[in-house]
Amino acid sequence: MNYRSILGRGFWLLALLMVLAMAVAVAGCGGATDEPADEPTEPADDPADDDDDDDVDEPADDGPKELTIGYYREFTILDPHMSSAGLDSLALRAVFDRLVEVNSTEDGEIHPALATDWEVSEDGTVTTFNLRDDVTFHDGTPFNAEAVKFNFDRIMDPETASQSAVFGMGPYVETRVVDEFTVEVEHEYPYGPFIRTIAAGSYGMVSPTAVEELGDDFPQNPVGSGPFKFVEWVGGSHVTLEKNEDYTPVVSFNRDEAYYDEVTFRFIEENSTRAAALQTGETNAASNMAANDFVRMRDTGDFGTHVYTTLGGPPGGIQINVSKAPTDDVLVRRAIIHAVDSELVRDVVYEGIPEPSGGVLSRHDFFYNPEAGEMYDYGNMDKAHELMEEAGWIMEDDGKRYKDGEMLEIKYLTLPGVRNVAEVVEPMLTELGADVEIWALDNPMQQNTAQEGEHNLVWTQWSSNDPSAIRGRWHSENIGSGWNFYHYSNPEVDELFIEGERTTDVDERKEIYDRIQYILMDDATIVPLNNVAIMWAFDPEIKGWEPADSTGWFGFVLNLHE
Amino acid sequence: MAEQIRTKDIVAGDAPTRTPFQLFWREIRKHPGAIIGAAMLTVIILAAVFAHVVSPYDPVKPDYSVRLEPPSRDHLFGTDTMGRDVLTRIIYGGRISLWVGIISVGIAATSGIVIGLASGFFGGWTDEVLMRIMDMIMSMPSILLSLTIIFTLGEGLVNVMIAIGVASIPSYARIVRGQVLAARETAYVEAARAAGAGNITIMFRHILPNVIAPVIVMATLGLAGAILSVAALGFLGLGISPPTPEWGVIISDGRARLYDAWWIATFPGLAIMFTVLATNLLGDGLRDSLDPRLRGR
Amino acid sequence: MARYIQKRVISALIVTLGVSFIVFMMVNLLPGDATAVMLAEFGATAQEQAELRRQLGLDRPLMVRYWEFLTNALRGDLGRSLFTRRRVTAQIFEQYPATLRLALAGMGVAVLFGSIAGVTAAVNRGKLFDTGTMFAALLAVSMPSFWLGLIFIFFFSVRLGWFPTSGSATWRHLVLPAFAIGLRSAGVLARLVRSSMLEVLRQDYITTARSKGLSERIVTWRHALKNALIPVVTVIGVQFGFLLGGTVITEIVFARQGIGDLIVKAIFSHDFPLVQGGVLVLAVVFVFVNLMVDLTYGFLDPRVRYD
Repeated sequence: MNYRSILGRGFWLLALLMVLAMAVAVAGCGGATDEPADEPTEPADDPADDDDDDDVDEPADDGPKELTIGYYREFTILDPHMSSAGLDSLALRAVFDRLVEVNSTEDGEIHPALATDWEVSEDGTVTTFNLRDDVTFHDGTPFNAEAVKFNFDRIMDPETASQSAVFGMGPYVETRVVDEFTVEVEHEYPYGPFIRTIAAGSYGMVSPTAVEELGDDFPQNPVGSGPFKFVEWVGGSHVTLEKNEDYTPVVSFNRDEAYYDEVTFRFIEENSTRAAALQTGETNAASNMAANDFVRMRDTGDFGTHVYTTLGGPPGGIQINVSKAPTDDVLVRRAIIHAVDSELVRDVVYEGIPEPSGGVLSRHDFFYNPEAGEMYDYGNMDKAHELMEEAGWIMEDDGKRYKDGEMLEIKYLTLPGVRNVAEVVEPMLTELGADVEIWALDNPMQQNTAQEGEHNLVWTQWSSNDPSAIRGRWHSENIGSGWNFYHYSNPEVDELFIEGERTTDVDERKEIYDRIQYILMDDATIVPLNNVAIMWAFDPEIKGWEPADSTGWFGFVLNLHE
Repeated sequence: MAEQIRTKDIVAGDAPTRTPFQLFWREIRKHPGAIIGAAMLTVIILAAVFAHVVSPYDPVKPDYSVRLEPPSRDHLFGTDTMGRDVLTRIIYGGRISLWVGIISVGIAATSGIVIGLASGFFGGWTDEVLMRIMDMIMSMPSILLSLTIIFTLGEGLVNVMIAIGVASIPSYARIVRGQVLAARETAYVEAARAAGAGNITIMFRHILPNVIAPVIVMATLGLAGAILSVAALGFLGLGISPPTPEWGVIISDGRARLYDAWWIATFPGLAIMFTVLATNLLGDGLRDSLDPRLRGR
Repeated sequence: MARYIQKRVISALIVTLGVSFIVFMMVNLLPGDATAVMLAEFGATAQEQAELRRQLGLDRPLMVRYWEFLTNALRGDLGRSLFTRRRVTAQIFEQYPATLRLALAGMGVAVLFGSIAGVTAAVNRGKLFDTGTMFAALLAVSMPSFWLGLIFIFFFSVRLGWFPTSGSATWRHLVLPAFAIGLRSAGVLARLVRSSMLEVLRQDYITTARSKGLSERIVTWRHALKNALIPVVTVIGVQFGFLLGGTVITEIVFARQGIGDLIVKAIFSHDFPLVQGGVLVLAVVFVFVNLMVDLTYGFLDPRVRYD
């Protein structure tokens, strides 16, 4: 290779390349994504004192009060009707308000918010809401019955392709505007869950004018009536909100106005990094911490800590496929439930912080049935062995159980994120005498495999306000193409699910769901593990972490103060 | 370069004074790096094969009484969140890395050889089409390609092997094709053809031997890349089912514990480095000794 | 020459098309789809999921969707992400600067350290410095970059506090990741530069220069280096491709924004439009870079044109 003829060119090319590379790299940095810390100041506010929270010493400076939260994931979408992820909920509740609100910490009761009161017709099909008359959206549009109709219709609109809000609307017929501040919502048949589900973050009321004007760009420029206004969303980096000075407080158990003038959510996905950012002062709070980081921060004593825990739905458990051997035998299933020492799982994986699950529903849930949740003596290995023997599976010398010449094989399906739970459970099953195979697949593949029923066990978790959500899991209509990974088909339970949705009488519903829980636990369909515990750490001056919103997983940004 | 090959061919094909192996052995002794690399690899392979002898602990069974212990005399590399001995897990993990690495390189090399031979030999449309496909594979970052393949095929070591192997096929194909193109024109081959030898014969008896040497070098060096890729995929949590102690998986587990149990993430990385270093040393030595141009340095 | 350019450009186009097809097929043949991720938390019924699928257009035949994808892509519309509902092109444009910065910074590190190491090693051939540097280079090539990244974070960020742990805002955030990917390429380059230099140094015109009495330093820097670096330039083009791939994992370890991070997350959540669009863009960039390298090569070395 002879390049004598081009002496010199190579060198300059190289030098140029190097200089170019460095220059672009360095120059590009400073400008594009600014640190949120140095935002233009707003005139200093008087600290709000028309609420009854404790006031700690206010910081002496008159600058704007800013809060930076190290958040565990980037928001998916800030349009409440299109969002499906609980993680968006924290921001959605800051920018939007809903017709009703649920206080998950105290009573789990439904409180008025944008609606002052409501009543259900005799036949249960029409719910009439009386609305507040003193609320405006961030863009000045007044909040009224027309707006509510617009919102509900938008949720139902196929164009919106709503990922969660639409499912809670039930057998929706239409919304009628009665007068400026009264609406009627009609359902085909009485739909009990309705009033609870609309407290969820995905039912935030959006400004009709803004949606019409912005169309597809609305999700990037959300306009609601909540305590914070949207400022910007820098993809991959952060979301910034600013205080809504004209906010009309609508929820009695929350603050009347925000303490902070500006709130920034910085997305830091890596757990240890998020914790480190709090330690170094880059952020004031760290959300969804890993248990070991949380404990470490807690033990230093330099930080405040708070644990949120779920209310509705089985927060975390292992579903058992009742249609595939060997778990098609109820005795085997009961043995498995006894064999799994959920307390050990909680201790090893989550440092003992979460609470035990109630089986089908969380122990904090309004509809929880203790008889069902405490049916088994979890972690009792002896009982487990006993049940297996009774079922005809005999332990051989190789440590495995056999019946009719077949070895006890269990296939355990899990998600990559909770691999460690599987790793702790697996030896317990091995001790029971099973040959365990673990598959860690992502969500869609998990669903696919589980739908085909190739598994015996599958890890699961979800959240919801209303127990009707468990229908999606246990109703036989969802076998093979939905989320009924149990492949459970029990006509009595199916009937009960339908009944539970059709009545709006709370006592009736309680009875129904009590019975459902009892049957499902008696049939040993799920191995209860633990309530999901969401752990936060923060600068010690920051308060206001309770109450929790209707997911039970987050508080309200509105309530945070120093 | 063409000159060199001709000479070598004649020497090797006619009356050799020494067998190719003897020539090779004489050469490789000049490269201590290769010897060291081979020695290191031997240690690793032996440790992996005789894992149960080398380490007294069980790699998957938990022992909650010794969770998260720092390195000590009992546990040279400490223990992890479930009380498992890290050193043991690393030794067993070596099995997987080597196994997957070797097979995926095998897949890549054999496919590459076949494609390269076909492409170089038949030329024309075959060549065009095959090379375009190779280009397509090469224009995706290999990790994304492997990721997507694993997602499509699902979990399992075999799928990991395929995912990693496929991404490397183009390099082998190109090298082989290059060699074929160069060798095709040599007087030696023309003579054989004039003598009436068929295509297949020419391909296998005359061209293939030339191709083997660079492929072996590439494969050894490719093994290094494959091991790194397996670790990367394991780190992302793909393809390996728990509780298998793959090196990347252990690092990923250790990542969450970097602050209070640094040993879990550190040592597997060193193991990877050691193994990859070994293959690189060996590969380098092989390349230097087999490349005629560099002889006499 | 013109024919050569034409040939190369056409094959570049074919390759890009092929990649779009392959990626589309692979992504869409994945069992299970994005609706599973969307609804997992909610526990919707089968019917509801089917409805959502229909609304998102995921139930139409594969070829129809591919055709739509292709025709739109040619007009610059890569569709919308299934989750964020934003335009794929918008998200990619937002993220690529960060990746580009990382790749360039990494390359800067690689070129700087690699060439200096290589040159000084060549000049000091045989001595301890040479062996030491080459061994270091070999080590650099043998390290898994994600592990190196973690170690860096542990030492320089947590223990020493010199650099921030994550994010992408300032130049400080770039240092550790740049080294994490750059060092490996630096090792490759160091070895290459060294061997290239050695070869050049042996050649006649260098001996001539020496015999003319020019100082060793001038010989090294002015004459030898220029020529030694020429083959290196082409390797840089290839290394850039590796760097681009390397940014994927580095972005994840350092929690930086970037295309790699975007695409990996999209793959995990089966956000098809994002995966298709993202990989297509990456492939186009790669093909383009290679095309440029090929053309430059053809320009520099006439023999290549008659391949």
